[in-house]
Amino acid sequence: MHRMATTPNAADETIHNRLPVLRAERGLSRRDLAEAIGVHYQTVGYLERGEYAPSLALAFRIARHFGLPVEAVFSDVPFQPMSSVVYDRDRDPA
Amino acid sequence: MVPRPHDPTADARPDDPAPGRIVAAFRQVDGDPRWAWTGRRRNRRLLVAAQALLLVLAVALLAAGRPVLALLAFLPFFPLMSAINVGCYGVLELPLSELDDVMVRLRAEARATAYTLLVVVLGILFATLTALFLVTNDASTGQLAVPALAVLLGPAGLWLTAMLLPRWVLAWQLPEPETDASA
Repeated sequence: MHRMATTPNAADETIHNRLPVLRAERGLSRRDLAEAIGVHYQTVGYLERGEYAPSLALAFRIARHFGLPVEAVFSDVPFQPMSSVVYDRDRDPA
Repeated sequence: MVPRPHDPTADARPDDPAPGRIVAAFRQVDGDPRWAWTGRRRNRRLLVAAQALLLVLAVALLAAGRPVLALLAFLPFFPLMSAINVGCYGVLELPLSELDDVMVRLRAEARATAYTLLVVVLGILFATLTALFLVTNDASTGQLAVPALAVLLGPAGLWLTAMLLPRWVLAWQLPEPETDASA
């Protein structure tokens, strides 16, 4: 992943996100999502690639748009792939 | 250019005032495929290099006593500036209300980097002029060439101001401190 000349997210402060998966699930383009949450469409790309972390307000706005809690969209530790999360849950029901 | 998020109460409010000239211009070109080339990093850097070269050329021609040629060399400056602005999505030109928070951060970072570069350049200029001043003036006689002193004091003043201003702004704007951090 390319980082910009100034690195807003230090290596230990990267905010991971599920934006590409959530966007794909709902068939949204970057521009669609950008218009819905009130940001520039390039910003959606910066966020998805982890080049910039969203502000708290923007993170909540994005989570609200997808109808999910903010920790389901953003995390300070890498997300497990959705497929493995779903597979594990099916194999080992609580 | 940032679209406003959907606001269910928007219908109850009067329409937004007409956008300013700059905002309207950016709305027109933002996302226009004819301007997409300006957004590619390689092209943006080429535009920056071309503009910097143009400036150097114009100044060199002016110094060589060719003002008409200098003016002609300077003419592409503005189209280049427009292309760079479009390629940067208007981050430095648009009012804050038109930028999302990531774009605002990009603007702040660009300005912080530019500020550091400015202080370094002014410092180098000041050091160079000081060296020239010391070489060309005999301090032991106590006689100083006034124009040389003025040339020296100009960059010194700018350098000092550039270093002091952020501190002054920060000192002026910082909120009140907590009087009891343990509370």
